[in-house]
Amino acid sequence: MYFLQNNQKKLLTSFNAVFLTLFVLLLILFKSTSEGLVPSVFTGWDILLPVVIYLGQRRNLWEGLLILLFNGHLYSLNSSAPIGMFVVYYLIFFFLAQVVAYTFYAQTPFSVICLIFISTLISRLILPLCAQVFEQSVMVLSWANWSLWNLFLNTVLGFFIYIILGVLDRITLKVPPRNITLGDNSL
Amino acid sequence: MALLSGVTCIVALYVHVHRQGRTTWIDNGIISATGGLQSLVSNFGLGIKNIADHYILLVNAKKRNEELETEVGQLWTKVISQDEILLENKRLQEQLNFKSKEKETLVAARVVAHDVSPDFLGIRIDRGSNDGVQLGMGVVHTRGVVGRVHRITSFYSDVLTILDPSSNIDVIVQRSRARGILSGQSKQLSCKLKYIDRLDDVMINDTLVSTDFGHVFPKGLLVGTVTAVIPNSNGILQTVAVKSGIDIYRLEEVFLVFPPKQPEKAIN
Repeated sequence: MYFLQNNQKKLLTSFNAVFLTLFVLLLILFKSTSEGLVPSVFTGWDILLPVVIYLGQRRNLWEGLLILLFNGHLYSLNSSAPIGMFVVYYLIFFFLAQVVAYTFYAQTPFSVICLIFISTLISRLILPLCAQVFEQSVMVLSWANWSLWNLFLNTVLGFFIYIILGVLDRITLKVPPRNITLGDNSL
Repeated sequence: MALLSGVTCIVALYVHVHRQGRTTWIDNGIISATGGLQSLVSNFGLGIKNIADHYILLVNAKKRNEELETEVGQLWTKVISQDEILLENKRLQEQLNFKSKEKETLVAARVVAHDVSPDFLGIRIDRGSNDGVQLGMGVVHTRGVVGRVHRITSFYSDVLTILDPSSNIDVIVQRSRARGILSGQSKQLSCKLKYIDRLDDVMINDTLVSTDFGHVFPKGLLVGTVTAVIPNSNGILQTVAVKSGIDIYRLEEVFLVFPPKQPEKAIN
């Protein structure tokens, strides 16, 4: 994107949130329409969890919150869970990811994989608890929630989604807020 | 702290606005737009699948055809004997002056999308309030009961399938007429029969059928088959596992059950 003028670059960067939302919409379309076409073992993955972790790590609080609230709502409207349940559930992960981003440096591929794996593991506890709050009868401590295959699938696909989001940020010339701070200090 | 309070207030307000599945005009717009796109993508995917199934993946088709022909022959024999029973039943009902019941009307709908979350099992169909669909309406398939409508917009409706953990429907065991509530267990893609007395007669391979309680589903429609019965030695109830008659991931068309004398709008 080096051929663009400065004002064009700024315009492209300002549309980053729109591109991110379109990417989430694409994921929703793919996930919701592909279930009848692929074997059922490939259906148990969470599309928004890696996006939320990415937002928690690479966006400031306000920007991340706004994008998350809209995308969480979009996700809720495409699920049979009560509207709002997934917004609350993903907000918890967003805040956790923000805390992790300010505490550890977890942006190497290995640490990202670990982060997504641990988040998926924790999600198996948090989702049923959120469901209970919204009076949904998902079993909290059921072995059915703990499928090793689904943990693996979530981690692998989550890592790919995380990479694609990174590419999207690079294309739209979006700079993570923490890198700006580091740059200023180094100067 | 102020931020946390602010976010909590916004989320609480948002949840309150959407309580009990209520949707605003913005939600309706989003669902209509997403539903339209899902319909397009789903059509495209099904087209490719049909080409693959009908022109490329024809291995074992001849063998399967022979098996199905045998099965059809057996089923025809069964249908003819059941027609006899039906006529006899009708004659006896007339002799006893039984009041004949009005039939529900079935209206076809196409499945455009599945639930985006792996923990919930809903489907989206291409019929909405413009077609006369109402909340709580039953949805069935030729293979059995599918679920109930739980969210409606103008052009699309979301159906909570019987495999979803929040779904509860009234069923009876066809053989013993024992009655219970069928609830879903999404992760196992199966159901469990609740509130079945320990003394009730339920056996493995028993067929569960729908009741006309609340006029949601036609009476006697297949719901599932009992796969396990675990008697509880201490309690008064027994645990019954049920395999649903439908494969949610292979549903393409379903039927909405309109109560008697209501479906003019949808039929038009």
